[in-house]
Amino acid sequence: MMYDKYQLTVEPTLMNYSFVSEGTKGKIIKLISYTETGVKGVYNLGFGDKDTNGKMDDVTITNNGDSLKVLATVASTVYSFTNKFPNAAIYAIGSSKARTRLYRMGIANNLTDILQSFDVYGFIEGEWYEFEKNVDYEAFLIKRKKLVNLFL
Amino acid sequence: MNTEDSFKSKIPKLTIDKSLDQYVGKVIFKEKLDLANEMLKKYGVPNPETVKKYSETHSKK
Repeated sequence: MMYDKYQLTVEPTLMNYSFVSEGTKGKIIKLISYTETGVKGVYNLGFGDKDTNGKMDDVTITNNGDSLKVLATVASTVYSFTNKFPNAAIYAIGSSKARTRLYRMGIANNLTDILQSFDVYGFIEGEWYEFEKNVDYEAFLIKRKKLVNLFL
Repeated sequence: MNTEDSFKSKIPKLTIDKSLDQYVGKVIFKEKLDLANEMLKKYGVPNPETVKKYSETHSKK
């Protein structure tokens, strides 16, 4: 399913993205940042608002009335990022239970589409599992499926 | 549309913004990264060969 998305800007390494959320509370600058974790090839997906002092805040729930559009925009960066880094795995966790639930719903609602290109895992009760709908995961890991050339 | 075409069709159009260069090589969301590192160190990453479905191991009786 195709959702409306915001126009993204990016720096040349394709690891830091920005867009402007426009909603009931006005314009809010959002930043998405992929940072490699201590595990080689696993990147943390960071996402938050730029506050009036120019500092990043990934805790505040903005409630700008455009959460689906924001989520779709963030999700689209996964395609951009893994196009450049096809072997990267992306780790994502919300800054609150509500935001983690929003991530889960975003994945679940588009699971068929996502599974065409990615393997998706959910973490719960100390273990990783293959992602399924209706499980209240605490974190997620997504990795682009390896391309298989049937002619080789 | 094959899988690769489907993937490519979802890549967003991007505009380069030089002001974002300030974030290159920096950890912007440190608390979140620390949390990820702590969790990954303790539990590792999923093994595609052995990972199961939660519903298979926690089926209702």
